[in-house]
Amino acid sequence: MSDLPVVHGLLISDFNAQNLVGLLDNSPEPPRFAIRHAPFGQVMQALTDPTMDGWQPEPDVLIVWTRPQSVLPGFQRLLENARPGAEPLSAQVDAFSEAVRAASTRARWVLVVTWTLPTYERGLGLIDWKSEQGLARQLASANLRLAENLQALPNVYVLDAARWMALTGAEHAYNPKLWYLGKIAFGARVFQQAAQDIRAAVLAADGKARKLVLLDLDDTLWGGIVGDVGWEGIRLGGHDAIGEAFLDFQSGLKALKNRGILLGIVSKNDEQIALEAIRRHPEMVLRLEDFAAWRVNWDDKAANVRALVIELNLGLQSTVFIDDNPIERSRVRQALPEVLVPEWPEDTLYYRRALQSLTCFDAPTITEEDLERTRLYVTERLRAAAREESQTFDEWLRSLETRVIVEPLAAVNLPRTAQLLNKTNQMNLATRRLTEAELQAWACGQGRGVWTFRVQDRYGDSGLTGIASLQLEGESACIVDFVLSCRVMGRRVEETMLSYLSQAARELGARQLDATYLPTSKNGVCLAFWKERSGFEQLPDGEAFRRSLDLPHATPAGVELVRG
Amino acid sequence: MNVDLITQQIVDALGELNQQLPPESRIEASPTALLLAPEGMLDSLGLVNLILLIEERMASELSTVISLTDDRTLAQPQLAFHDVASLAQHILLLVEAGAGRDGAGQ
Repeated sequence: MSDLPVVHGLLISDFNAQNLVGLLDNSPEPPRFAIRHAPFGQVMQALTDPTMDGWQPEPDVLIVWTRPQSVLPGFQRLLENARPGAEPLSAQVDAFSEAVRAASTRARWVLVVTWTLPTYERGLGLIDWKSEQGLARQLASANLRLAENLQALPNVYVLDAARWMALTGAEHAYNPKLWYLGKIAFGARVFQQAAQDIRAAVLAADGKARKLVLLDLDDTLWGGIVGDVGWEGIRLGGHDAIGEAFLDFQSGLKALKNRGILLGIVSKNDEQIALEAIRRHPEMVLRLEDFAAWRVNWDDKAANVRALVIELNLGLQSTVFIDDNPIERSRVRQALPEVLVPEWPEDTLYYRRALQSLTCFDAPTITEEDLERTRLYVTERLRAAAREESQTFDEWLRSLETRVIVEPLAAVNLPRTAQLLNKTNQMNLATRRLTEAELQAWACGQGRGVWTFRVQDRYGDSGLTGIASLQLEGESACIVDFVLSCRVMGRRVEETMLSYLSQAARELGARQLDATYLPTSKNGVCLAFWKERSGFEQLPDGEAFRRSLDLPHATPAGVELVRG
Repeated sequence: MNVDLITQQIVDALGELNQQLPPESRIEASPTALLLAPEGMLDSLGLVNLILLIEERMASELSTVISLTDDRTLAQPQLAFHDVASLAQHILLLVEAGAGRDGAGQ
């Protein structure tokens, strides 16, 4: 892991959180952290004063973890059953939120931990949720207000500490000895849970969430061997604990699919028999339209996983493989170490729990494109089938009736644009990684423009799949970002984007368009496009390209360019 | 209860403690490790964490509730916590005397 870039963090807390710092810094799992702990107990000063120790160099991630009685004076009064003070608790939450907002401009990502109380604090007991002064009621209200206040800040995320306490158990979550002897507010296991969620959050914010789950079928999606017992004989649903557990597991997978995670099948089976079960079993939750692709045959599973990932234009590092068979898990793990292969419970009744415990799917945002992702792959299957029936590539392209809709960067498309910018590896000229706030700030600069491209055809809307940006430098408009999702690559969308950039550059007053390719281990396809199909001249020194704007630059035949 | 069982709990607790410590402050997780001895690596924060980890392990693994935060122990921690061996002996004495049974761990 030593070759991974270091994620610098600043931890601001009102208690001694050195144990959390150690767990994050020492973890063998990515990301590789170097966390500084601001002097504890000076939360508001640390949040609002950028000259305080710890803010330099500017952190990638800021973690803010406080106790309510420490940062909300009104909460301390509640603990003492004192009469409410003049300032309502909500105003104190707002003041704290404002301090977080101010700090959020000085870090790429901010993680704010929800407020909790030791489980032995019973507040007003029976009437704790009935009375407006009830501790539990006020705590929930304060946390909700905090989340609502921070909701609009694109780089701020709220982490649920109550879950960590519940997972840890009351006995291990809080121990007064830790507080009195070391000003440590939580037990070691709470910090372990926190470290796990913080790691997942940073990976997610950095665009490293897993996007694909590949599933075995027999004894994974259903009970029994479908090739032996037929679809009528598999265990799924019914008045049967095991069948119900498989059903519940499938529901969990469907929930993942509905938030944009792709599902695929890799199974050793007869394809016709296996797919018949998915089509015909009355209690099957997952149907064929829920799967982006499948490989059902008797070949090596590792080879099938690799082929399926290539077919879906994803990376192995985006993939999770779930199989009840430890030998198959071991095979895939050994052959494809980038694939996450979680250990899987022997007992079916724990399948759903094992799935829900995975943190690798956490994403910083869920866009409309995410929700439609499986459908996009299903229509891609139809597109590919039409390609096979067409005589020529041009004939196929014309038959698609492609429309490319260009729109300037705006608040409404900012989340999806940042997401695409941060996760696209192949057709990516410069591979810039920017948060929403950074991208927005960059676009506001003098002589700059950022545009998004949405691609539609007769099979449907592929969504926002392209980004291009220009920076005017004298008579030259430099193409800074040129990004296209692999979903629509090779359909002359690339050429259409360049045609539009020529128009935009002329409108900015430029006389030529320039582009510089910055190589990574994954964007070779981008260089090939610029060399072979861009219509730009490759300059002799390095991998730079130029096109005079005196030349006409038409939209490719068969593609309609629309200004949105 | 014997001293070997207790020693194992201390060694395991040290292993868990090391996950929270920077590499230069880690303590060898072995029966011969030094703790608060002059050449030992345990600092005050490490001591607090180690106490709690051992108390939790004694309760969960050996079903024995002990308290290592009594006045006598904390007044001269360098005696009981000199090294793993001295700590194991101290805990054994607590267990045998029943002196540790105070309902620690809430």
